[in-house]
Amino acid sequence: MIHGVVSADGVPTITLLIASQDWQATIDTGFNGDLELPETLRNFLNARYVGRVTSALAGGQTIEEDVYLVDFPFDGKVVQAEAAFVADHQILIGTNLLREYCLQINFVSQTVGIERVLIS
Amino acid sequence: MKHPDWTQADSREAKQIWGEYQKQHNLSDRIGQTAGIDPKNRRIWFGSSIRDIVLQRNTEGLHSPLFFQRVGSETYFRKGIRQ
Repeated sequence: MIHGVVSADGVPTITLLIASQDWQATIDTGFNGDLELPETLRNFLNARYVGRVTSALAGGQTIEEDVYLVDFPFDGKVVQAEAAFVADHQILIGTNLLREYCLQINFVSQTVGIERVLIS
Repeated sequence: MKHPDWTQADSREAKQIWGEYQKQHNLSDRIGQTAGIDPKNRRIWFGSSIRDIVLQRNTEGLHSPLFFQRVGSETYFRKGIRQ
């Protein structure tokens, strides 16, 4: 099980070890993809450019962006995931990366739990 | 950011190809699937995800970039943030 916290400003967050460094990752339940990653991680995840997609943002804007396949360390293994890279410093985890997991966010105890429930 | 291997013309062409394909085919049983459109040769691949399509094309030795659409949706990703 992956454990995380709800931050002081109400954001569910977990910590991931990537390239020998701890990274804070936000669980973004409004994002239906796998990952949005900082540009600074591009060279550490074997990113392969596969094409373009359009994305709808919360403010009603639509953008077009590059999409990559990356080798992403998650839950004790390396998974091949779809990712976009952005200038931000934050990792966003979308619901598709969690499709085999149960996500529990307890806003009272400020805890996050992610447990795999589908064995494939 | 746009990859140097992709142009605005590629995007326009891919969207046009996809628009024409949707008019000519009943995609009701493909709702939720991923479509990958090649703007150069006008081929379209279908799969469960971008990764699935990439793996399909790898078996054919194809590695050129595609424009990905989600069948039944205006956009491929929905994001909960403002950029």
